[in-house]
Formats: sequence, structure tokens, C-alpha cells
Amino acid sequence: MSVSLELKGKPTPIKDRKLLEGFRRFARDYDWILDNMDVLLREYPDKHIAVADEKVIFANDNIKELLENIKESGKDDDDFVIEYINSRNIKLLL
Amino acid sequence: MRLICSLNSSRHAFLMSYIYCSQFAEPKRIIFLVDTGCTTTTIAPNDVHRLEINYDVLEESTPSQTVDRVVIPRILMDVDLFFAGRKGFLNMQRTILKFHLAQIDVIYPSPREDDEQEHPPPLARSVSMLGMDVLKHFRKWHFKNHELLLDS
Repeated sequence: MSVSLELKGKPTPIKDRKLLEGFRRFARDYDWILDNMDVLLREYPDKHIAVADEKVIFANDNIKELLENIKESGKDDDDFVIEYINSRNIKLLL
Repeated sequence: MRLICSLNSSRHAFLMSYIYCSQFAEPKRIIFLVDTGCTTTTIAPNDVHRLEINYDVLEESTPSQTVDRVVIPRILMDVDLFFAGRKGFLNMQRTILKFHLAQIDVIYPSPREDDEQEHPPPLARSVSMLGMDVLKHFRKWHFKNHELLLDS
């Protein structure tokens, strides 16, 4: 990873092709989830889903089991965007 | 420099990121909620679990006031956060912005939160928050379609 001048505590632009490609896939799949939430709510209510290449690859009621499903497939959970499809309209109060 | 956040149906802004610390072999994915009410960037219980952060070796952080209670997170030291951003003025180019943070907070699932009998499991609802330690570097914020643009 090549890092240019690093300013303490401030954002620093860096060049890293692997990360950039990772971000590209990450953004595409996350935006796909947001764009298709209506369909996902119908098909995977209250489930955790793992999405890669704009497809739901794994779905499970339990996050631990979903992570196990991914490991058992020989893949890394970082290859997926993992999201919980909440059927209830939960508000955030942080 | 610019960060581009995605807005969900409630218009909450989320930012895709990679996180790196000494506990990881390489940067790992994480999604943050942009939260101006949060002082210190905080990793939520489900991400602590997914990222396999060894919580037992971490020291206690300063207590944090939430809406109805005080929680005592633990400290994850020397963390790098990476975001896909833009740099430049007229023709903004894609780049990766790296933030080095001396420390962030992590909150571990309590036994109650880890109770798989609850439905839906509370773990599903926890969300990691991008706090003012990062957000303070972005002075101009504006909404555009389904995005929140943060400019430094």
C-alpha cells in the first residue's frame, strides 16, 4: 500500500488499486441493496443477507449462521455486503 | 476532498469504508451511519462480532451518554479508516481517503443482546457510527438525489 504525505488526524489521499476495486464492488452491491429494498423485503423479511455481484448469495435468520455459511463455502465475508432486511419500520434513536 | 454517502429510504446517510487495525491482517469492510450526535467513531456489536475483534484485550474507554443510559465502550487503538472519495476542484478524481485515528470505541454484545431466541435479534439492529472525530473535517454538506456529499 503506497501512502503519500500523511497529515495527522486529517484525510490523506492514497493510491491502492486493490482497495479501489474493493470499494467499487462494495458500492455497487450496497447501492443495489438500497435500490431493491422493496423486492428484498418481500423475499427476505427479517433475514440477514449476503450480497455479491448484485445477487443474494446467502440468507439466514441468524447472523452467526450466515457467517458460518460463508466460511463453509470457502469464501470470505469481506467478499459480501451483509445487511439485515428489517420488515418493521424501525426508527433510529441514537 | 469529497466523501459521498448513500441515503436509505429514511434519508439516513451511510458510508462504505474499510477499517484496519493491528488485530487485522488486512483492511476489512464496514458500513457506517453518519452520526453528528456521536463524538467518537464507534463500532457496533454486530460489527465487533463480524470483524472478529478481540474485545477482551481492549481497555475501557470514557463513558458515553446515550439517550437513556451510559455505556462504557472499549478502545481500539491506532485505527485506519479508508473511504472512497474524490479529490480536486473542477475535475474531481476518484481517490481513497485514509484517516488515521488514534482511537475509536467499540461496543460488544452483552449476553442479552446475544440472545438468539429474541426475534428479531437485537444484533441485527446495531449500527456502527461515524462520529465527529471524522466528520469535523468536512465543512460543507449537501444533499443531492440519493446522496449526501461531504466536502472538506
